[in-house]
Amino acid sequence: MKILILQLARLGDVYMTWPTVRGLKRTFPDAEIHVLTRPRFAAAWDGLQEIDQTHLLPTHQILGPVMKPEMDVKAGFEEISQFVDQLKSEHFDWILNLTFSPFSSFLTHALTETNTKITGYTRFRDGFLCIPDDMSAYFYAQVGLGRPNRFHLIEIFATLAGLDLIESDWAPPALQNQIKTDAQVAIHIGASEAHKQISPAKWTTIINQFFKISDAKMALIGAPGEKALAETILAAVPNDRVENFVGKTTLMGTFDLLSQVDLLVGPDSAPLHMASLTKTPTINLSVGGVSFWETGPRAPGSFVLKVSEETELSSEKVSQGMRKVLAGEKLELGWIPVQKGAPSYWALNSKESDFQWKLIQAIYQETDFPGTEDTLFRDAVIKLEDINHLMLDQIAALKNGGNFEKLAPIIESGEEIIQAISNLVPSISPLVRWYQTEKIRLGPDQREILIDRSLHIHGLLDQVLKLYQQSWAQAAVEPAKQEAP
Amino acid sequence: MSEKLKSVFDPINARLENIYNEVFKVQGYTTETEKLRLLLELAKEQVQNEDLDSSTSTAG
Repeated sequence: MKILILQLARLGDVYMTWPTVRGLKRTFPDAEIHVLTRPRFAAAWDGLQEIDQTHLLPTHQILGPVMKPEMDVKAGFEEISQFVDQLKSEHFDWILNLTFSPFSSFLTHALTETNTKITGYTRFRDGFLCIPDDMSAYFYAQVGLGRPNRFHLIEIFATLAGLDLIESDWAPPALQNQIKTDAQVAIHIGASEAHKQISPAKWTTIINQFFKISDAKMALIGAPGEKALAETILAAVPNDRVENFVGKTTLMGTFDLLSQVDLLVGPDSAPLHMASLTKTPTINLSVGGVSFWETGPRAPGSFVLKVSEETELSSEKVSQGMRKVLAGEKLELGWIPVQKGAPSYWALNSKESDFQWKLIQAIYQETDFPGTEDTLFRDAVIKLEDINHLMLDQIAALKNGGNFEKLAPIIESGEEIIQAISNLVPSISPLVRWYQTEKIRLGPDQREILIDRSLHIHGLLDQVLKLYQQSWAQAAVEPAKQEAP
Repeated sequence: MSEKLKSVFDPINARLENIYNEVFKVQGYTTETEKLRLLLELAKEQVQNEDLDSSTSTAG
């Protein structure tokens, strides 16, 4: 079997894909595993021996002609055609698209042959988005910033591949011992995106406070572009206790380094995911718009400190946390520990966030639907039920030969109202997004089949809404019974 | 950086989108139009994927 894994995202995503690749090879030992990656992230696959072939997406070669002043679209078209045809000639048995982007979905479709198994986003024959499997549908509906998903991307990738990961799937590459350090703590001073970064001033305070309470040495790590940041930090901390590796290590060298230290401290970025493989305990200073649930550290003994912005980050708290993790002491409430199983973290959350997560579990994992007395949610259920019945009636009328031109706009308006309800009452949005995703999954087909499938989806939505209505009706009757003589 | 990339790619994307729409109108969704669409989507993704000012991508 020839498998192609499409992983066109960044370094961190590549490292989060490693356990899945290992699991695939463990499950299908004779499989030939190929990956497609962007050239600048190709080095992140080095050391993963389960990969048989790495294909590079030649972005610059393809887009070069269209970026010229005369914009040669024909030449660009020829470049992309050549790339697609060449990759297609590999005749993959299974394409596993772990990228979730429009480009990757079109590419997946372009590479598909009659018997190719597809997992992940692709396209229908008319070019519309096709979400062929339930895990991708879950991703589409519930994963991403501001969404209530609490499954880690590593498990999402593995589930897409149909795998249950085991301990041996989590491992670094064979270490090369290029880098030697006597530091106990590695600090990753940079981040892949500006909003995740921590300022040199903050790092300086954290490091100096830590040195007051610990004898441990430190190693700074980061990309060549972060050398200036390192210099700023080094100018303000005791140099005899800090080794500077910023811009001086390869990715393989970073694995060497992480395997020698007892703790990594840093934002949500590639070294954190490398540390999950070396099993180096990590303190993830999770600043701003990132979801630690999806991309946080996974090494046992790791912790997340979540803040909205850097000003909320207490240097005292971070340095104390670092000392405690090194000493194996317990950390106080507010630190989010990594735990086994799913979700991968234990955190105190808002009632709203917990409710939405329970709603997700009920929809996708068939647990009990969470109870609530929230009047907004109740109103949303009543309104959704009304509009859903109206839509069911219109679709049933279509089935019975009703006028499409007349009925379709009513159904379309119904969709708009459902979206408006979801916008107004976020607590019901996981249910609405599930419904909307299932409607998207319908794809092109004969009208009769589409009508039946639509009726089925609206019927499922109706069942959930009824369940809530019944539970509230029952709750209203019970106190009345108790009061009766 | 992202604004600079946007200013480079916005006119390219707009032109590619126009060409794709014109071809799609005539040919519908075929293997050929799909490749044109791939070119368009690849260009669209550049602003997001190439904006790596402080990236850890070249080392760690």
